[in-house]
Amino acid sequence: MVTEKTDFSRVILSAEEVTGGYGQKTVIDRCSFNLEEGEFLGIIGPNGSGKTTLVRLLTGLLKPFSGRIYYRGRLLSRIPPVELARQVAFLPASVETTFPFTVKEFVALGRLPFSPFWRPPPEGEAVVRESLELVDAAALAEVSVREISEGERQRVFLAQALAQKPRLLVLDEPTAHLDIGHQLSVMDLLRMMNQRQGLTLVCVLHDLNLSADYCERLMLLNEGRIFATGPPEEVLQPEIIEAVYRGRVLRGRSPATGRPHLFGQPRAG
Amino acid sequence: MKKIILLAAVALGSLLVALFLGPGKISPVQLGCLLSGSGVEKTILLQIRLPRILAGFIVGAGLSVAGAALQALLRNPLAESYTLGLSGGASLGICLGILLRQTLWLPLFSFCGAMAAMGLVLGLSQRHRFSGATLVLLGVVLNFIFSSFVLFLLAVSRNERFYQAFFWLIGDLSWFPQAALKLAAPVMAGVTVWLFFQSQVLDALSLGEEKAATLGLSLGAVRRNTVVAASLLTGCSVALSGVVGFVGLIVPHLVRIMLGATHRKVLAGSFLLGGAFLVFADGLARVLIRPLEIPVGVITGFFGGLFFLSLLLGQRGRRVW
Repeated sequence: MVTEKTDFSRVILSAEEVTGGYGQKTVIDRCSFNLEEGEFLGIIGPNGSGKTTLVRLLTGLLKPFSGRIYYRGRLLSRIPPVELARQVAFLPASVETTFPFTVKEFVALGRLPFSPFWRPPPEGEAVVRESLELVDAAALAEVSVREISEGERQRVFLAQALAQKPRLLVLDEPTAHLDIGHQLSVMDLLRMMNQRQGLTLVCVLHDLNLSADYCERLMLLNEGRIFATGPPEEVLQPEIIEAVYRGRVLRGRSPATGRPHLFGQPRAG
Repeated sequence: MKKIILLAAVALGSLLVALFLGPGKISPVQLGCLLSGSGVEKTILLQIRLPRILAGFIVGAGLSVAGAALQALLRNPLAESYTLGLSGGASLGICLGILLRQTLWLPLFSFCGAMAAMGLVLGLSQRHRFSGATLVLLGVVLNFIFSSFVLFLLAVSRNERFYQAFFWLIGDLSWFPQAALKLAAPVMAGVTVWLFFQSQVLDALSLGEEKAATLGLSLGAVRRNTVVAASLLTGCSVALSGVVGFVGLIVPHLVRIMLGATHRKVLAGSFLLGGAFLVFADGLARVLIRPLEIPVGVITGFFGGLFFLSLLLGQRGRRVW
């Protein structure tokens, strides 16, 4: 267990002994941690370790069996959904594009928590334009979301979440199914929002090296429990990773970022 | 905006044109004379044909708006009152109403039937994670089960009025209880207006439940309200015309192509185009093989079936599942 120091006045999200899951099945088991304002936290862990369940708990989508989650000192479950949506945005692993909304209309839906209930959010708002420009999708404004590429679509989803003007953005594998170019453009954008605007980020990542390159702090989940937490330097150690992922790894450094990178070691023969 | 005005004009036009269409031919000049006079033709026009046209509009608009709402709720462009089995449930409700001799309350029986079917569809599809075409398959199965219940009731009751009702339930506007029209019209209007002001909720629902919830929607309430609204619309429609299939599938689809996908546009467009479509189809049913009348359900079933088939075979359909 890696210890951590916490400045409690800056805590935006805090989990105390949170246990949760689906039906009878416990997926997340007594997790406690604090998230400070302006942090870029990466959640890593093997398949089925509970990463998605944890972010569903943190965004209020799932009620914990026991334990408490506080958002800026208030019990999460007591905050009305609309009020929470004005501060916390979530980008799930899959957003559906069943209907041919234009990109602009789609991004404008991010303004929903701010518009009165009887009227859809106006598409012409400056925030919508800014969000589109941030993700470099302004040229797609009038195109149907069903007719753009996977990488473009992920950027548009991100623009929708940014249009919520959140203080905390939670993302579930935002780089899944993306090629390396799109992976970098999404992660660069997240880091830019984190550094320039102080946006607090919680990001589930599958790719350990990507998480090392971008996140300031990592949280490694194993079978529903927090196995280790700390800077990539401390968490991405071969002993820790091998214990959790059950595969041989070697550690090296990225020539691009100088951060630790792990390399899987094939069995001899 | 221009396109919506155009649709409104089409809707109004369909109402006017439909006044002329009937077993007997009437020219526009004659129509003027008839309405200013006091002959038996005026009575026919105002007391038989006009209510029928209004009923047609209500059925078409109601089914189309319900279809659009159900498609957003289930994120499935193939969903509508007929394909999900709501219409079947509603017609079973009506049969029970007729058996219990509650003619005045037929729309209520119809609504309850639709609600029950909707409950079954939602319950089963959530438990077994049905989506896309499987959901529609479930609806088809439900329709079969409901219609065998109807046939069973028909076989055991041997009730004269029941025979009449049976043919009516195929989808016919040539006869309907007048009381149903008086009840259906305000309900339909109210529900449509309410849904129109909830259009952004439907927009959010169509992004998926997680996204909708984190955009501030209270999912439980939203889902419940949408289900009740769609069942009310279906119930009213079936109480007027029996089972008219595929309207709720074709119309929102065309409207999305014409106006775009945000539900404010889809709902307004579906109301206008759906109403016009059914009024026109019923007009066609009256004149196609004069002096015989075809049930309007036959016409919508034929064109709707072809349309559904083209969705299944075409590019648009393949992306659905």
